[in-house]
Amino acid sequence: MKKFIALLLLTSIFGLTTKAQLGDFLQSTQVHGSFQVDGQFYFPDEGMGITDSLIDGKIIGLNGFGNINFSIGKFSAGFRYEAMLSPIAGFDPDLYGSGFPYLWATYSDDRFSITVGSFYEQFGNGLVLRSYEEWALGYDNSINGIRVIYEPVKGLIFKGLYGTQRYFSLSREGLVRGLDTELNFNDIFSSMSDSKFRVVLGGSMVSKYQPEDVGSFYYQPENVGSFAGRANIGFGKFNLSTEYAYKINDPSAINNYIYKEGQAFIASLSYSTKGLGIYAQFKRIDNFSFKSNRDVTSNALDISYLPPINESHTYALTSMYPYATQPNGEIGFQFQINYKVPKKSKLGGKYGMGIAINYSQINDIVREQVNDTTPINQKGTLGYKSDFFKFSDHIFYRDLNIEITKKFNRKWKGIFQYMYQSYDVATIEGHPGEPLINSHIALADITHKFTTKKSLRGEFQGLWTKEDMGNWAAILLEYTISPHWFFSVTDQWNYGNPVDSQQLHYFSGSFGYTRKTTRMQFTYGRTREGIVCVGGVCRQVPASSGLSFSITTNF
Amino acid sequence: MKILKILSIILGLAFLIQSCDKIDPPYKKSGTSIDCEVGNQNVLIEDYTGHKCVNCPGAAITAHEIKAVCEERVVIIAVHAGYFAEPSATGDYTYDFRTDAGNEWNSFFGIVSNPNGVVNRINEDGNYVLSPGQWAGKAASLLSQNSPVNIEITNTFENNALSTTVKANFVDNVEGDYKLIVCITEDNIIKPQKNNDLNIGDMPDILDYKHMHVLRAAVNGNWGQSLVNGSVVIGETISKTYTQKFDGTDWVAENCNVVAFIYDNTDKSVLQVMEAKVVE
Repeated sequence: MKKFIALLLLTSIFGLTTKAQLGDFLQSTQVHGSFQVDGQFYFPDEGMGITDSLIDGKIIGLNGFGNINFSIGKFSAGFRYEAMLSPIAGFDPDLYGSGFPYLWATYSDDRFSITVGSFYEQFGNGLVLRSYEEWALGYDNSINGIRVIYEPVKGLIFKGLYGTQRYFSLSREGLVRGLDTELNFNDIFSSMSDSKFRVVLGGSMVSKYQPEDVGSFYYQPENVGSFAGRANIGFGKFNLSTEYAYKINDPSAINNYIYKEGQAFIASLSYSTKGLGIYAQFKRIDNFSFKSNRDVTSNALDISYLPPINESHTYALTSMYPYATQPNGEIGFQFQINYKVPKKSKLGGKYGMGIAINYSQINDIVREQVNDTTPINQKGTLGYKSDFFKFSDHIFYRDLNIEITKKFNRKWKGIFQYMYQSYDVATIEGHPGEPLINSHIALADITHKFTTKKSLRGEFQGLWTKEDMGNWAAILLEYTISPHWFFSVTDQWNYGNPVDSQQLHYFSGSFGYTRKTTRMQFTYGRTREGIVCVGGVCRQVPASSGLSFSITTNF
Repeated sequence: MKILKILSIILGLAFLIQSCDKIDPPYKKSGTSIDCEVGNQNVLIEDYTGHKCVNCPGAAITAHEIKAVCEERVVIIAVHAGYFAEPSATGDYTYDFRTDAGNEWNSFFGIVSNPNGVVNRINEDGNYVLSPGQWAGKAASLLSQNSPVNIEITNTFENNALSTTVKANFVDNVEGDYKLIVCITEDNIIKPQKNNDLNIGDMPDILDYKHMHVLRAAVNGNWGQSLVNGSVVIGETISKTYTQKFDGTDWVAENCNVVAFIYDNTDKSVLQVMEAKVVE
C-alpha cells in the first residue's frame, strides 16, 4: 500500500516514465501518515442546565486531521490537512475552518539540513523558543518559514530559523527569528568520550518583530530580543540541567503593557541508581510571556514555553484542579523520590513494590514599587522590582502525593495514591476573591487478570474539600479483551456540592475497538465542566452531554 | 564552503543582536498618531465585558483613552454578555446587565473570553474579535476614512418614553443591503465589578464601580431594521423614528444615550455610527 501511494505521488510529481527510475524510487521511498477524527453530538440535559437554546443548533462538533509524510533518500516532505467544522465545544471558535496549515519539505545529509514551510522546533528547555502542536488543546504555534541545521563537527550543532507563527485556523502572524548553538564536550573531545563527566552547553537568541500599533499611546518595541544559556552536566549517577533566559522590554496585553525586562530560570538535579531515583527542580518565572503578537492574550502565538514543575496527573479527580503556568511570575520547586522495594523482601513480597513521593509548590514572586509614586504593575511603566530568590506568601499551587504500585500475584495488581492539593482558583482560573481550594484525594486503581487476554480494571476515587464544589466520588470499571476490545462505565458524583440541585452524577459508558493500527472509541454520557492541561497550558472544557467518538489510524 | 557557512552564522548572530529595541522612559507618547480631523468615518467600539471579569476595568479605560482623543467620533457600547456577565444567585453580583441583543451579538461575533471587543464590526480573515490592545490601531485607521453617510439623532423624552429620530444623510452614492440599529446605553451605573488592578481600584472587588456605556436594549431589534436595500444617491436623506418606553426599567434617562449605527448586512461592517444623549 505504501509503495502504491508513493508511486502515485511520485509519478504525478516528477513525471517518471521508465521502469528503472520507478524501481529506484520505490526502493528509496517511504510514506507514513496518521489520521484522526474526533466528534461530539450534543444533547440537551435538563439536570446540567443544557438546553436546546444553549446548544443553539450546533449539535455536532468535529475535529479531524490527516498527516502524510514521505521521504526519498535525503529528501522528505509532508503535509497536514485539518478540518474543524465546527470545532468541538471548548476548542477556540477561531479554529473553525479547513485546509492545509502545515506543509513542509526538508533536505538533510549527515551535517546539514534545511527545511522550508512549516516546522516545529525547540531550543533547550523551550524558554526562548518552542513551537509544537498539542491536538488535545487545539494548540499549534508551528513556524512557517525556513530552518537550517548545521553540524560542522560531531557535537557542535547550529540552528537558525525565521518565519511566522500559526494563529488558529490558517492565518499567520508575528515574525520570529532565532539562532541556537549546542556544544557536546563528550562528542567533540575524544579524551572525554568515555568520561563519567558529561557536559553539554548551549545558547540561544530569539527575536520577534511586530510593527508598532497604529495609534498607540505608548512607544512600543518593534524588535524584542531574548537570550538564553543552558548547561547539562552529568557525573556518574548525578545530573544537573539548568537554563537561564532573559528578555528585553516587551510590553504586552499579558503583562499590562509594562516595560520591565523578563527573566526565566529553571534547574533540575537528579540522582538515579538501581531501585532509587531522586529528582529536585527549581523554577522562577518573572514577566516572561513571549508572544509574536503583543496584543494577543489567548493560547496562541507563544514563542516561549515555560515548562511546569508540578507532577502531571491523569486520574479524573487528581486532575480536577490542574495547574497552569503563570507567565507573569511564579517561583517554585519540586522534589520527587522513586523507590523500588526489592523483590522477596518483607515489604516487597514476591514481585517488589514501587513507592513514589512527590512534593511541589509554586508561589507568586515578590513585587515592589519601582519608585514611591508609581503603583505596582501600572501600565506604561517599568512595572515593578523583584528580588530573584524571594517567595511571596501567595501560594498558587501545592501538591503532595504518595503513590504505591504493587503486584500482589499473577492475577491482581494495584496502584494506590494519596494526594493533598492546594489550588489558587482565583489566580489560575481568574476568579478573584474565591478561596484557595485545599483538597484530600485518595484513589485505588486495581486490575484483575482473568486470562492472558481478559482483564477488569477498577478505579475508585474520592476528593474531599470544603471549598468550591465540595466533595466528589468517582468510579470506573473497564473490561478489556486484548488486543481488540474494551468496555467501560464511569460515574463522577459531586455528592458534596453545597447546592443540592448540583449534586449531579456525571455518568458515561464507552467502548473501543482496535484493529492493527486503527482505533475507534465511542462514549455516551455527561462531561463535567473542567480544565484540560498539557504541559502547563490549559483549555476550559464546558459541561456537555451526548455522544462522542474518536477514530485514529496510522500507517 | 565551510567558511561561508560559519560566516553566515556569525552574520546571523550579529543580525539578531541588532534586533532589539530598548525603549527608555518616558514610555507614553506626548501625543497620538490618531488624526481626528481627517475623514468622517466614526468608530464604534463594542467592549464585550462582564461584571465578574477581572481584566475588564482595564479594557474600559483603554476604550476611554481612545474616545478621549476624538470624543464624539468614537462611540462605546459596553456589552455585558457571556460567562463573566452571568449574575450570581447571592452576594454582590446579583444584578443582571445582560440583554437579548448583547447575548446574540456575543455569540455571533465569537466572543469566548473577556475583555475583548469588536471595532466597527470589521471581519478580517473570518475574525471580528480584537483584544483591547488592538482597538486603538483599528480605530486610528478607520477614523481617517470616509463614510458615504452621516447620522443625525434627535431625541425627545416625555412621559417616561423616548422618541428618537435618526436621519441618515448620504454624502455619496450607496448600493447594497444596509440596516440601522438603534440602541440605548447608560452611563454612571454604580454596581460592583471584579478587578485585579490596584491602579484602577480595590481588589478583588470595586463595590462602587461606575459602569459606563452599558447596553440596555436594542430598540428596533437585535439586528435592527432595513435602511437601504438597493441604491441611494448622494444628497438623499432617510429618516426613521422609534419609541422606547422606560417604564418597568431601572434606567435613569438623564444617564442614557441613543446609539445609532448603519451596517452592511452582507458582512456586518459598520458604515457609520453616532451617539446622542436621551435628555440633553
